[in-house]
Amino acid sequence: MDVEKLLTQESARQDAYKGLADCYKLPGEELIKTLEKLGKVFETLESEAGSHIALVSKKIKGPEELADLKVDYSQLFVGPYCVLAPPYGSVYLEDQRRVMGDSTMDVQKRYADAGLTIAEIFKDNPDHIQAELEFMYFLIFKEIEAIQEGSHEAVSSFLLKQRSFLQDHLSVWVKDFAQKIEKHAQTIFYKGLAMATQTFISEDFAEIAELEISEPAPAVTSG
Amino acid sequence: MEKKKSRTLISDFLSNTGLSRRSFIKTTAITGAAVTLGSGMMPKMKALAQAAAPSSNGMGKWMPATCQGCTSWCSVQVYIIDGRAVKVRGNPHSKVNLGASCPRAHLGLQQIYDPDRLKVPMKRTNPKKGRNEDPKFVPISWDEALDTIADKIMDLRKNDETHKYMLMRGRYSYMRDILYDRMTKIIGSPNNISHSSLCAEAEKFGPYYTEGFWGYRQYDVTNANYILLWGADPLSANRQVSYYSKVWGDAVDRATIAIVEPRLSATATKADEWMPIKPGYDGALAVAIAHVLLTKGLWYKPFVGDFVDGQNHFILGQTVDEESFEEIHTHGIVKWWNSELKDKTPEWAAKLTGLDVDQIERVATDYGNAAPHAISWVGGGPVMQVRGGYSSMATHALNGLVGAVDNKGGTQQTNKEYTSKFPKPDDFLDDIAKNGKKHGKIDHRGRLHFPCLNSGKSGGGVITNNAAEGILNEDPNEIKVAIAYMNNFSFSAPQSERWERALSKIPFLVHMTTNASEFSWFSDIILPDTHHMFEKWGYVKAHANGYRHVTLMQPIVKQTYDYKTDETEIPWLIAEKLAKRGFDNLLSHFKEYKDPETGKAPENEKEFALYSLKHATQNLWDPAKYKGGDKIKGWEEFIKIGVWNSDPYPIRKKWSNMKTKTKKFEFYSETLKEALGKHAEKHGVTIDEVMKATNYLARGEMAFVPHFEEPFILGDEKEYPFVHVDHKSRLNREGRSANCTWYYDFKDIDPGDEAWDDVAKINPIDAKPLGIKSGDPIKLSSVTGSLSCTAKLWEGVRPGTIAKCFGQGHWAYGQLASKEFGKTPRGGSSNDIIPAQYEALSGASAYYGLTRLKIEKI
Ligand code: SF4
Repeated sequence: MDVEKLLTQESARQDAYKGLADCYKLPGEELIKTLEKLGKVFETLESEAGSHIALVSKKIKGPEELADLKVDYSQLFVGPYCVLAPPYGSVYLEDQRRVMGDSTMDVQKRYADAGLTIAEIFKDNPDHIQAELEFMYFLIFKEIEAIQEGSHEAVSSFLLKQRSFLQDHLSVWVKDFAQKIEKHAQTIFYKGLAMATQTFISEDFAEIAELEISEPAPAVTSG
Repeated sequence: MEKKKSRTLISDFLSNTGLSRRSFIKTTAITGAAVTLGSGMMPKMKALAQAAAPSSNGMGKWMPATCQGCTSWCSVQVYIIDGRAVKVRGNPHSKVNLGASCPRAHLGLQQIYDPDRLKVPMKRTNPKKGRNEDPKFVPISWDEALDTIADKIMDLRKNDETHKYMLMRGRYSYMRDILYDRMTKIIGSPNNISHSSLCAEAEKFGPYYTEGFWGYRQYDVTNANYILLWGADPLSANRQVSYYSKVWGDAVDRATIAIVEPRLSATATKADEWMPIKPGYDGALAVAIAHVLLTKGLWYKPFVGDFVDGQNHFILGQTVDEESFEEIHTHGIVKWWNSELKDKTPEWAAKLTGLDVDQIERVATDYGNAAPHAISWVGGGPVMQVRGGYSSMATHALNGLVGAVDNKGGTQQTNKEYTSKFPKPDDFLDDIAKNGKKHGKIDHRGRLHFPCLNSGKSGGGVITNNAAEGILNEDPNEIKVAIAYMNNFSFSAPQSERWERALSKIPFLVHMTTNASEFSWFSDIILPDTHHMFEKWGYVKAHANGYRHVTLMQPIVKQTYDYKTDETEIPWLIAEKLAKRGFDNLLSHFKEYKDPETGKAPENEKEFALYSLKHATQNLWDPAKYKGGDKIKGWEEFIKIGVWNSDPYPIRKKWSNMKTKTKKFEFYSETLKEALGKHAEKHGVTIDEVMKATNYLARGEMAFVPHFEEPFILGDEKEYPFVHVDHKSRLNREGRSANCTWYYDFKDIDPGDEAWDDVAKINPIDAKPLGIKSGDPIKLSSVTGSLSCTAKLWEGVRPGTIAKCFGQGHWAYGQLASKEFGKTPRGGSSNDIIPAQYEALSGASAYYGLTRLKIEKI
């Protein structure tokens, strides 16, 4: 049993979700560092996503590129007119192209079950891509804690939560979302980010989907 | 193969159940894996945070709210589950809308949860402005936005240029005076421009210059025996659509309903008489009806009075001696007869209006027989016309003839309500502000050709659409800094293209709005606004059903985006920034808006929003201040009910006690005579010259009586053979429904319209010779512009006219609103073909019976 390797592996997964989540914030100086880190993480994970990140991170050198990124970011994810790649799960999982749908409420409930809520300063919907990626980061963080504690039940519980969240939410809509980015992005960066996000999530989901995890006792899966 | 690593590792871990916590710690200690140890730690997150309270049980609750989807201003309730709004219904506590709501109320849900909403403050990064210049907005912080705004205002103050500041108001609540009035005054500008004259000022003109009431009437339809509607469509649009929709079944059962309207409107489909009049000739029909009422002796004698000898001397073509008639609650009946009515027979009107003479005769007679419970309901159609002022008087004057004014089953004014004004700003106006305020207004109200005689005062009303000319021509001065909220003049004002140029010219423009629009396109900073139904504190008042209500807006959903409230929070935050720059008059003034319960002055924008509302409504909820209407035990109870109702309307109290010059209902308007006289005097001209300058044909005494004026219709009949008929939709939440799927899904609830299309309705008699079929893409052109839409052959529109609904044709209002964002609109905007013209006596923009059109297949 190679726990160290396991921890390295899971920390890398954790950082990958965190890094991707940060990439969906309004781009600023710190993006360059985030990308550097993300490149290393994908290397550890031997993920195909790494090649997409490697390709685009070179393009961002300074304020000039960042200014272009900001405009592109706004038109893709914020608007104000016609959000070209709405970063909200409900837009893809439900019809009518609205936010705060039943699927959003399901996401909110999953956060609540894990003791979480949308941060006061975040000022956006629960199924925003950044929040969902961060939720995966949180679940893996907790899983790592459980590994360290040696609590099999808790590990199983957090893995199951990851799996069902990917299965019902993130991995379902990320493809359409990425496609919209690829279609509308004006910068190579966001096209690359879309590819990386989609690639990593589908790899990760494929792995986690095949795991044999025994259902933990009801007490652990608070519901 | 490598890919399976993670899975294998974790599988190994899960199957190795013997691994205890102790041995695990030992292992990790030895290998030194760099991970955090211990349960209960929170990782660093930005979007998520630890929840303070456990999640709800998923049960919902009906919460009180207000709908401003149109100016009916219904009190509603919204079902909230877990902070999310899921359905809407009328508030059963309201005596005005009686628990009813209308179809478009539900669209509010699609508006609040529109992914294209403005979510954060944004600034323009492309300095060039124009229709073809993408503003390239990027998010900024509230701080940056407010700092920039405050700097610009301070620049004006430093240079004694505060009159170059302008505030443009669109849809408002009664918290409006904070931003619209107080802030503009304290900064020091005369230029607070409301959208009111785009709305319906001409509709108030007739009632004011006959019965002294500048406002919307309520109609007692459930006690009426006859309802004669002039271009009003209460089952679709303004006002009190919820209330009238609820009771219309009873009204139909009881009363005869006649509707004068070139198009078969929703209300027309349920009427007994449809009078598809030629646009612009309503005044002719109204005076012919008056002629019939008088010649047949059908006027209501207890109100109007009678001939001294009891004989009817109103005989076709014969003048009457004024002394022979003794009026009771009216003034000038004989003058009106002699100068206008005596020759206006149904035959004469039939020729002009294109209506059937028997129908005119019948409607007039039945209407008179129903007196005094006979409503003449003045809508926008006949009056929002270049010469609509006198049609407004003529159609409303019928109520006077049949004694329906201020009467049961008739037309009524408003009930008393007891909200209070905000503290006066006078002590906070410094010399800069006082000087700034002295400058002329940018909309030119009160100039010779724009009397805008709101409530009798020259220049008393706004002439919204003309502000574009003022800005463009820098007349009386340039505008350097402008703030606008919940308006979209570059879409909603006729000949909108003028606004595109005007707005491009303003060096610094701020727009507060829920959705970025055609107006935002030209702005430098856009600020996310709250949705009135779910996200803000405020109140409005409305009347119908013999009551008036004051209904509250409250933040009832969990806040999602980074929005703030236009009329309260944002001015407070600007005031704070100005104070930091050494100008604290505005903030000091705002600190006077104290919480009536604790006496505490507000310390932040949230407290300010709440305290100012509590202050304004205190008389309604504080038992110690009770003045009338519903008895409410306190603030907590008020916000739970969400609405206060007045006492019932006291009928006939205004008979011989009207706010006219004579206190009577004036068929010969001494009130208008005085107002026009003062305006003429101000400009050193005669009243006839005022008539000429305002495009009216009346001269001499005719200027003071309701009369028919030949309509002013633009476009040569040969080149533009059809007359345009603009109308509103059952689903237009103002002009803001266009990014909602339900709007298109259900568009066919407007008679003649089609789902997911924008059609121009053409009578088959007109379409066939042109080879036009339903579904053909067409272009409609007027002398000032054109639009593209789809042809629809429909018998419900008068031959010779083309009816087209307002609401679609956005080029910048979200993903769904345009076919191709920024380039191709979805459907056509009526304001692209409606020229910028005015009913100058009231200042109202003209929309109807205004322009001729030609059709081309494309
Ligand atoms: S849209 Fe108008 S009529 Fe309908 S509920 Fe809202 S305010 Fe009332």
